[in-house]
Amino acid sequence: MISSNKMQANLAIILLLGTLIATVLVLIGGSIFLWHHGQEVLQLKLLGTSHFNINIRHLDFSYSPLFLIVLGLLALVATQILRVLLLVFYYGSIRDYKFMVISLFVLFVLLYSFIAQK
Amino acid sequence: MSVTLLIFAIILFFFSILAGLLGSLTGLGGGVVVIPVLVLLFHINIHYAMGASIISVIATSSGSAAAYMREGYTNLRIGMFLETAAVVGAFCGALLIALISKTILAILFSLIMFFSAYLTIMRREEKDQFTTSHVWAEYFNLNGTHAVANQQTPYYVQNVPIAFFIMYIAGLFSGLLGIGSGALKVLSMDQALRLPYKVSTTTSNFMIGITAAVSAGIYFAQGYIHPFITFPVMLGVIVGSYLGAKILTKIHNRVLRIIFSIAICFVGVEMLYKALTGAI
Repeated sequence: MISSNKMQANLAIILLLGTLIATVLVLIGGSIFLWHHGQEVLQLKLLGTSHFNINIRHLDFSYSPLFLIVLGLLALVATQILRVLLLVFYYGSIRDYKFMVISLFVLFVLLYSFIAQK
Repeated sequence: MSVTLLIFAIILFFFSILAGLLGSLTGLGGGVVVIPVLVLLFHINIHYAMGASIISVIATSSGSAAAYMREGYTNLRIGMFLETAAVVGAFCGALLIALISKTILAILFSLIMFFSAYLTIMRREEKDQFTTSHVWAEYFNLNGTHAVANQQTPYYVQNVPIAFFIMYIAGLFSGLLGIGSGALKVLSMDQALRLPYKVSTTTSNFMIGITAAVSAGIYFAQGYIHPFITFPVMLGVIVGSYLGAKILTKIHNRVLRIIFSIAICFVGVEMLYKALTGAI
């Protein structure tokens, strides 16, 4: 049986790893993008009125730096899902079924918010 | 106003360090800084600002929650129990976002700023000593221990239904405004559940990332998360929240609350002005 302290330590490791992976992806993507386009002038008013859709069901793979950033952002969000999933397994392992159901509910809402996209 | 993409990213990065620092120190999340900077300073569409803010909240939570869990302060059971109300609220809020005008959102945001300032300045450390807990706390085994002078001291959880309701409202604001609603989360645990302050803030830090992740799925779907705007924000917030976790113990709570309350009141006034003059 996994102790609560061990569980918290495992969650901390997952959070750190997920954040690290996300940071590296976003840093690489952002650096490449700025390397090529950093000196271009940005009309902020235009940016404010333009619509940049990055629906994750229709990701544009043709522009890799921005895609790397999106991938990093998704990795960061996935880390949150992963930590809830870990809690489901943890509460299941100690036979705390009330909290297993509670964690499953949170996990369901999390996943539904991604799957039920228009 | 026109700047190069590089300058824009650098300026945004440094503001985001401040956002991450304040977010992790106060438990309010990074949105209270990120949204006003993007909207008021750079005139970015408020929906993109909220998308960037949602990501900043997740980054703040990930960075600081890891440190706090290693210390053993976070009450995971309370976090997950209250999270059920928060995620439902966040889901409802994010679904409503496309139906509400930017002006109304901005006014609502201003009110949240003033309310957050009031809550921040008025909060006092709870001195009550409880020896029993609420019946729901017993049923869900929510009571825990925390370290006081190197000794594990038990605490007894109170008023669970009230905290549960406040948590739903916190989730709703998170989804609507792209903020972590950390203020309401900490408030519900500090004032309703009567938890020790550090347990409240660290458990809130654990929760805001999950609540924001629910909204993030919907924000992605609606195209509100712009990678170019979001990437300097995310990187800056991670640096800031890391620094915040390091210096948390060295700053007096009262001083931090006063400074932060003044700052968010100022931001609230500016946002209200923009909304009422149609500048958004």
